[in-house]
Amino acid sequence: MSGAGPSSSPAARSLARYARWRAWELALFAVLPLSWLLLPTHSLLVNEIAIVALFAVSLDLILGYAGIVSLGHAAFFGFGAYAAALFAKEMNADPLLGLAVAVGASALLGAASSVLILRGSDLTRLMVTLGVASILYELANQLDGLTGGADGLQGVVMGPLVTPFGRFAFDLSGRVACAYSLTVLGLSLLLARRLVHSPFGISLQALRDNRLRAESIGLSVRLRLAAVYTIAAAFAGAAGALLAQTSGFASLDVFDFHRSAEVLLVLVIGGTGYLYGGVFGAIVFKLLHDLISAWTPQYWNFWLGLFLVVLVLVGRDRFVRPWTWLRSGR
Amino acid sequence: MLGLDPTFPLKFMIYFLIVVSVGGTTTITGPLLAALLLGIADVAGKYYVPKLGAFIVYTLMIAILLLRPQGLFARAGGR
Repeated sequence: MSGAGPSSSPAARSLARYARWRAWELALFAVLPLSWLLLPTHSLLVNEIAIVALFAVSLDLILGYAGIVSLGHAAFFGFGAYAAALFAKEMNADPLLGLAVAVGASALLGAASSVLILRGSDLTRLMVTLGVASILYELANQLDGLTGGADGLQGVVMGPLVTPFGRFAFDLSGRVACAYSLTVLGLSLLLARRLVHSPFGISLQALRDNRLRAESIGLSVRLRLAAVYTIAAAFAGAAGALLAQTSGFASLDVFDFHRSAEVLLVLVIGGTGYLYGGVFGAIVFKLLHDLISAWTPQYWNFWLGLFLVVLVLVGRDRFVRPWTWLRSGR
Repeated sequence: MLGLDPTFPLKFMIYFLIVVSVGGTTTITGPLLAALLLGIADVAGKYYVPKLGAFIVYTLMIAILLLRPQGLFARAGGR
């Protein structure tokens, strides 16, 4: 998106303005390496936040931009995690190769299951995506010769990260893992940003707002939905692969219903349809989770639930502006 | 059946949602018939093919929703 150019019609100018880099976006991208430099003792937490953020951004691509609701996005997350862990265990321990394999595998799964989300109402889509995730969960549970079943896939030893700057082995304190996840998150965000500001991304928002009208001006709705579903699956697979590689472990938990629900919560907290909602949501969600479970290890679920109910009742826009709370409605 | 534990509402909710989406949201009798159909298929599947028992409900749901996205017993023109 070069912005300035020969295009000078009002529509082109408005699109260029929409795609322009904002100052807070640049600040957000600067925070990624800064969080690695300034929080060396919290690397494991930052790593987790980066993974959840990437997962949430991938859901935002289909939910916020294409309007596809999903209760089974963990299917791709888990598939990527198992693909990366199995690849490292059976074939090659190189993390970058494993990441590429996991992304490819999840994209294939996304392309295959995208036929399921083209028809029906939102309820149909919710249930079909949930069904796909549940079937994968049961598959991972039953194929215990391959996946280790309910015990999880153990004995995954990751090789060192080979970069142009040298070789880095994953360490216990999570410094390398954190840098790795943050880098992948940053690159994915750049890619996703480019994608949603491209003509393809704009057309997705058109069909989200009015599918009938988009179809009647000649957009191939089904192809576009299938394409964005595949792309989102690839991003989710990358997030899953990061989790499996940085923890050296994959268990049934990655396919679980609570993963799909959690990533929806993250988007509810952060907001959908502006790409960074997943990042902000992941930061708030994981920090709250960490703080509350340190404060009251047994009942953190209660406080988190209460927070979510209050957030949704009050409304996010009002919630982040405390100075408007005392003003009467509207 | 499902045992009583703190996570049971979530398990039940998933089954209810499956039944309602398969039966269709426009009629009352649809979910009732879908509950019978899925319940019988689930128990029969678990009894005759224990290996595939856990897959049957989900596979059946996806297959039915692929063929009839609005549910089995949705009224024509509903929604």
